[in-house]
Amino acid sequence: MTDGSQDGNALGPAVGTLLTKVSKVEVIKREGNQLRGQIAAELASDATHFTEDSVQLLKFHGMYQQDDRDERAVRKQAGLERAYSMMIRARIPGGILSADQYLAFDRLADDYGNGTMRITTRQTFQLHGILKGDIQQTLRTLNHVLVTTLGGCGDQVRNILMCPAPRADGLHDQLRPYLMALVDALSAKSRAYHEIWLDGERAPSPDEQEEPFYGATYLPRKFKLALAIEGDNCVDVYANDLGMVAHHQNGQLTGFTLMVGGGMGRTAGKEDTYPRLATPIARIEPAELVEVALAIVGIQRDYGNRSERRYSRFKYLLDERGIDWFCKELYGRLGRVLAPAGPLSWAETSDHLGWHRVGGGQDYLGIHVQNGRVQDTAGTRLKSVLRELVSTWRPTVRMTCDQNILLSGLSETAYDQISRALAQSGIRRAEEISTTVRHAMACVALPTCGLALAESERALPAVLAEVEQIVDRLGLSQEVFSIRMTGCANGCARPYIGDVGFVGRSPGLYDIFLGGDFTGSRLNARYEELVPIGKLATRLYGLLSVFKREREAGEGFGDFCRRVGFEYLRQVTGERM
Amino acid sequence: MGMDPAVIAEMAKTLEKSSPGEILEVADQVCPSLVFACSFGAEDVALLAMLSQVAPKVPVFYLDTGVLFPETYALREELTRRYPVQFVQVLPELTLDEQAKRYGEALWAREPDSCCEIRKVRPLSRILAQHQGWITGIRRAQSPTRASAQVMEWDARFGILKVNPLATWTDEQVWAYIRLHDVPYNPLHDEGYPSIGCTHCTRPVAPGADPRSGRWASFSKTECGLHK
Repeated sequence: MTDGSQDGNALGPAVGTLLTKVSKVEVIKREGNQLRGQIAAELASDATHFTEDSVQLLKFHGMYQQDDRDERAVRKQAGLERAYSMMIRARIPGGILSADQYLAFDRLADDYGNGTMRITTRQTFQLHGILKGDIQQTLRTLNHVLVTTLGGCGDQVRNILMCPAPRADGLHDQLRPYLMALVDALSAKSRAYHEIWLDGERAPSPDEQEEPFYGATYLPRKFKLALAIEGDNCVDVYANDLGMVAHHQNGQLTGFTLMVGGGMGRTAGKEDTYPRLATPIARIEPAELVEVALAIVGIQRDYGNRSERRYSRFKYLLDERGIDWFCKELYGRLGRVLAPAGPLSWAETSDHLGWHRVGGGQDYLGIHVQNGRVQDTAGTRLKSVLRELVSTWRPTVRMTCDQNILLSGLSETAYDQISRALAQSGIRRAEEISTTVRHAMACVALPTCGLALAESERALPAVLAEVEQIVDRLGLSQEVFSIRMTGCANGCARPYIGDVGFVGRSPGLYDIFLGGDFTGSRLNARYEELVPIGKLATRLYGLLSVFKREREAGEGFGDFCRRVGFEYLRQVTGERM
Repeated sequence: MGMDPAVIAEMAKTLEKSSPGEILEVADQVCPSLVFACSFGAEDVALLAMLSQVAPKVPVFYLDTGVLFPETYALREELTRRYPVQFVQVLPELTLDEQAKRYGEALWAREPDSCCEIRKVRPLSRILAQHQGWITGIRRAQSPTRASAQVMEWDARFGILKVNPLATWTDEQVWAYIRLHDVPYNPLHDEGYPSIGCTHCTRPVAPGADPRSGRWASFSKTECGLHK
């Protein structure tokens, strides 16, 4: 492929980045010797935590240094340092794990973590509460079952999404090699991960070509890819820097539509930061996928903003220079023009829950996991029963982009036994869960996430319980709409493309976003600022009452809000209160 | 008895220009446990009439999905009166109620491939496991997906012989045969249904359109999975 950074042209983009002032993280990356920095030395020291420079590089290895924010004040008063631990996030392409890989996570969560696993909105597991001294053993255990955490976080291509559900038409199996080829082409190649965590040996002198694609400074910011199958947008393809939509006819892959520049993150109070949906730009043949993806990521690597991280995502490059510039640059790198994108159709956004039949007499079962947290609580023994089912039936375990779990490869005779085991563990069948809860998502937020300004995962269940009652009272319990809550403006639970978004601004206060749609192909907008958490359900009650009274036949809640407009909604709900 | 796919391909070449009746006769001689999968479509009533002449002992089954058209069941009765045939009814493992309880209501409307798998493909696999060859009514002219069908071929999916006596026939030839021999046929054919499946998933098609386009009309699907 054409590699802009290797041209040596005086006006070339790589030289340009040297001349502008770069952010602190860029300096750490450049001086980090392909993700090594001082990590190994700090790991060997007695300190309970890493220094700030190492923390930046550790992200590339798949971990965030965090501390228990619930305990901060108490510990400070007692003169103790913060309760540091690591969040370790794996890279699990398409969210697919073998039974043994799943069971390794299950054990690690108990042995070194906080006893839970969390399914992220990008189809992977993260473990919380790993102490610095236990990182190596955790990563070695994962490596033993062929799971890596390199690429879980950091300024590189992140875990690549793909609809995880097996299909009777076999399309999933056809697409999997394309996904794995993308992973292979776009993953970091540094030996640092192996040196530091696994075999402990240092390469004599790191080779200049250690990262032929990423070079010394990797990408300006994280870069997200998702592969959707046309008709079902369960991966929220429009929220990705590079979205790929597989077209098919009679179960045969016929090509991909590519879309660029999606991303949720914004900064509260900075109006020039914003969520953006990806723009469809081209339709390509299956065989072109990896080549074109490399060229697209290469453009962001070479031209993306490296001076201010707030504006470093691909979407800002695209909006600053324009889609026309981007396409011209892309065609130049490819040496050819690509066919334009056609319209896309989204018949559904399936959560894949419940029992489904695929070919060969096999079933898969989708199990709802509230907020993606796999744990045992007083009422529901989810973690235990999953361990039991995975050990007994040896299914393939698949994680969905809305944080649920699928067990696939189940024989058609498994139904009765598995149904019984789940019922005995207090796990409800998909159809017994209200649509309010079934389609809701929350990010982790407090107490572990360092970015959180407000509660999210811990707070959402209580809010949903109130919303469920309201929805019942209004007779809207068959209505399908998505509620997504986050503890800050960064948007991990993709709050800007749900029907309803609650975005935390400060402890107990949330902005309400309305007017997205259920297929995830439209952004919502901020309806009201700084609403106390106790009033969120009340606000929805007012809005849903108007919706019930004035909706058109078949109209979804998000579509309704958009049609009548926020001014109207504020006016009529104001009168009612 | 094992079968050599290369020998089958040779045989298909020799029989390419033979009449469907001759193909059926040869198939019955070379394959000791042949079975006819009857869908009650135009091709299959014609084949049934031919079989009654040349190989009346070949057993005949149909896949009873439980959601066939009333006209289809009436045709089955009519054919039983007319020809010396005993239709073997092959049922899915799950009743419609059991299917709805496990996989949800109206599975055909949401996941038609899964519904076909449960109600057609699995039951077919079960019955074909007891035979060494099967006769079908597929024709090259029916759809692009069937354009390469041979009069005899190795069906790798089920590991048995597949006999398509009408592979080379046109639509007109099928109907000429039906009219000439006064074979009973499904009256839905006269109402714009060239291809007839289950009630929920079959629609009439416009004149001149792909004859299988009325199957699973709102999905990018034209095959149930029996003939992949």
